Amino acid sequence: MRSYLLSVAVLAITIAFSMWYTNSKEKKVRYVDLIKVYQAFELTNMYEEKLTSLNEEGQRRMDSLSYQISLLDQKKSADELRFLQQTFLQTRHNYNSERERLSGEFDNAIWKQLNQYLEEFSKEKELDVLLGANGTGNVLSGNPELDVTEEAVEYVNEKFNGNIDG
Amino acid sequence: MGRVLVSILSLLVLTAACNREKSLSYDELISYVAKEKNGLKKKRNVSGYLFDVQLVPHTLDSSSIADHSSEHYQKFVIKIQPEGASQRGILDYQIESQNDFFYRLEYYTTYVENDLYLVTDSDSISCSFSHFERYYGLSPHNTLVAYFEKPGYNGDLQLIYDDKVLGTGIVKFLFRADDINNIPQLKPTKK
Repeated sequence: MRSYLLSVAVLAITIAFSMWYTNSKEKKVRYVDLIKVYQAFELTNMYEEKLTSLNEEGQRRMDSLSYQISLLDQKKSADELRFLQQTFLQTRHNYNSERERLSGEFDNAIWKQLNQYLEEFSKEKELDVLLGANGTGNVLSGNPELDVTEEAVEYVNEKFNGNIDG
Repeated sequence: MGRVLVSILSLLVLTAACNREKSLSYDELISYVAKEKNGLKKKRNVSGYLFDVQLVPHTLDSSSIADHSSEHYQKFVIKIQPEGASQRGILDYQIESQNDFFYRLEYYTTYVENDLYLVTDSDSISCSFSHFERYYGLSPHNTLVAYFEKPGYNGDLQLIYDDKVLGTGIVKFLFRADDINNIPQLKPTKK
């Protein structure tokens, strides 16, 4: 009977201790400013340069067409004028569509990589939760000590450049 | 005095032996370059695709391109595999129609070399030639072999793949100068 009571007591103590330990273990929660990470990500800057270059190219082409249109004698060259105006509208449409398509494609690629790198960052730092503060109310306020945005930016860029293997 | 001289000479011989450039047999060299720890093979998991890039030293490449020996080129073997088991390669992975399949096929056989760059400290070298290996769904990965004109430069090399079809975006692989400059020589074979 005594040994039975002793076993029950040991079991109860073990369960109580494990419950206390599990509850007392501090959960590691940090947050990053997603907008800052997105803007400081090198892939974002590379794609922004590409989009700017596409915009400039489109603008040059349309400026050139506008100039040609302005030089035409509107009474004598009605057909040519109509042709140039159509070309202008078509060119503007094509560039806008291409810009929208590329912009979506680039954003998709950027977020795919960012999500993956931030997940790896979270694992490496042994975080239980990594919150993304993006100005939409997910994190209303946070202790600056829990803000790991700078570290995350450094990590994602190192990862993107292949400086961190894996 | 004599003992000191012998000790110094022994030390010099030992130092010279240690500094002598390593040379390996063909099989040993293949195994050396295939080990990730030697820095000539890079594996990266990006946006759902596993990239395995091997820098191939010219001593292991007997091909000749446009009448130039392989010494003029830096060869890379790029294996791309969708993440997850039992995939059939990248051509039909997550495609929406047969057109997508043919678009990918045309891209990898013809245009991918326009999206591969080798970046050195001061220069960006376009791909000279690439070859895409099809496995007709028999392998989970596909292989792309790319050749670049050898840079006259002994620093780090960065291989950049500016993907246009898989949705991964730009992917970079960094090869350190130390790893490239310390590739062992190929031991001459006896005939």
